[in-house]
This record gives sequence, C-alpha cells and structure tokens, in this order.
Amino acid sequence: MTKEMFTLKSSDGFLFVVDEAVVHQSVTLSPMVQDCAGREYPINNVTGKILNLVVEYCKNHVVVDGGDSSSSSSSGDALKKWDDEFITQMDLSTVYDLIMAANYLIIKGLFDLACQRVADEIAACKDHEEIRATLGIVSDYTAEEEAEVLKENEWAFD
Amino acid sequence: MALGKKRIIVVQKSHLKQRRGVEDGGLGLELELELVQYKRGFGRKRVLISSGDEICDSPVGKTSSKKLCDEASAAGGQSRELEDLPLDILLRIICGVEHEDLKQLFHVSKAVREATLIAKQSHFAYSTPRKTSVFERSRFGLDKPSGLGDGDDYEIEAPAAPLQKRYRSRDEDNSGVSVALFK
Repeated sequence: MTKEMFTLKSSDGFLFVVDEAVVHQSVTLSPMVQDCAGREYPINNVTGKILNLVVEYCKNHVVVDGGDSSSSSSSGDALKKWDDEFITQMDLSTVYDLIMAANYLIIKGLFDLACQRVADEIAACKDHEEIRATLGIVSDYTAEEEAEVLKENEWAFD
Repeated sequence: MALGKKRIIVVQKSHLKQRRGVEDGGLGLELELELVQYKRGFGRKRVLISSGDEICDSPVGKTSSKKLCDEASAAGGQSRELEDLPLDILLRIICGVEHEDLKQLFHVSKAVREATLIAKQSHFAYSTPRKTSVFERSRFGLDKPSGLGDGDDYEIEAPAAPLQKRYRSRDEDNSGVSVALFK
C-alpha cells in the first residue's frame, strides 16, 4: 500500500511533507486525508518553528503506536523518555505556542505533555514570587489586595 | 461569574475593532496595534509594538479578520506569555499542579488567582492530594479495636492538603448512614 503524503503549510510559509499516519494524530487534520492528498493544507495559526516540533512529535509517536504489543512496554518507556527530553529542552514561550498548536490541531498527547510541563514548572517553584519570575508574570496586586488575598486564603483552604 | 463577564466585554470590543479594520481596508498601523491589545484570555492590555510590523508582513489578505488576533500572537515575533493563553487552557495547566501549589498561585496575579479559584472548585475539590502518606497513617488507626480513636487520628493532617470535612463526618456518622439506608 503506497503511503500518501500530505503537505502542511505553516502561517509563515514553511512546508512540511508528512505521511498519513502523522496527519491522523491530529483530529483537526484527519478529515483532510480524504480531500487534500497532494495539495498544500494551510495551517494559519501555527508558525513553521512550532509546526516543525509538532511534526517531530507526531512522527515519533507513529513509530511506537504502530508497533507490535510485545515490545510495547520497553518502547513505551523509551517513548516516555523521548517525550520528557523533547518537552524539557524548549523554553516556556515555545511550550505555550506548542500548547496552542496542539489545542488547535487537537493532538491530545502533545497537549497534555505541554500542559504538564508548565504545571511542573509551577510545582517546582517554592513560592509565588518564584512562580512569577519563572513564568514572567508581573503582579497586578496592590499591597492592600495582597493582604486581602492572604486573609482569604486562610478560610479558603480550611 | 465576574470572570465570564469580563471575557464577554473584551470579545465584543475586539469584534468592534476588527470590523473597523475591515471597513478601512486594513491598514492603519494604529488600528492593528489596537487589535493586538485586545487579546483573548483575560483582557490585560499590553502594547506590542513589534507585533505591529509582524501583522503588516503577514498575509492579511488571505485570512479573515477574525484570525488577525491569533496570527499576531502566533506570529512568533513576540514571545507568548502564560496570560496570553485562553482561560480553558490555563485551567488545564493549573489542574496539573498539586494541591499545595494552589495557595501560591493565588498570590501570583489577579488573573491567575481567578483561574485557580475555578480550578479549585471544579477539579481540586474532587481530587485526592497526591501526597497521601499521612492520610494512610491516620486511616491505619481505624483498625484499632477501640474504634473510638478516630477523632484523635484526624488531627494528623496531610501537609497543605485541603481539609475535606466530609471525610470526618462520614466516619463519625457511619452507623447513622447505614441505618437510614436499610430502613
């Protein structure tokens, strides 16, 4: 069975040629399998840099998902290790972009992976100031509002 | 919910701006800058001057005006911040943190606090804190022959876990519940 190749075009004009198995991992893109073989499919919300990462993720997950179940446990661990390295190597801004892309393309595994990376970053922080520094958030609380939140916390977490 | 109302106002404003942009035929730089300011999410205004250039270069003609905001934030020229993410995605991220981090999230910023509140009510109220080792120890006390030592054991609390009053009352009122059930 000959593999059908599909061309994905990022918002900034980069082209990615991928096979059917990659496209199928995206719920958004799956229907195009019937319509767009051989034509370019524009993905207007995602830049080339991020689409490249998405395609890399999907390609890696095709290899394992299509494999036989006898080797699934070891390849599952290897895949998990690959996922961890994949997501931790990038900076948070790229992770956010990846989350938005995975959300738009509806790729559950990638979406969960990227969200958990951000959650892990938050969990690793000792206090709210460290969270702010890590996530690059500027506090919009005044001193009075902060004191109020502190008081609220006491009963909210009772 | 206050947060919900805020979002509606922001979206309406941005739609107004978008329509204006289409009528004018695109491209006063100022209009496009305004579009960028009204981002989805929490309505925090941020001036992204560099993104103005990005919008001019991007294929505006091809895409609908609705996608302009998305393009601006996905253009890649300006790095994305956590607060740029839509609320539902922020909620999904917060659901991935542990219970003890919730308290800290309250203090980060107003927007994060509101999202944390929602996550707490919809997710954390119904999930067990991951660090349950102390809970296990206290439950172990239920095996004691006296059975009346339950009250003492519940003074041992899991670190920073939300106290669920229903846990206590369930064990105390066990006999009452079973009587009512089998009446």
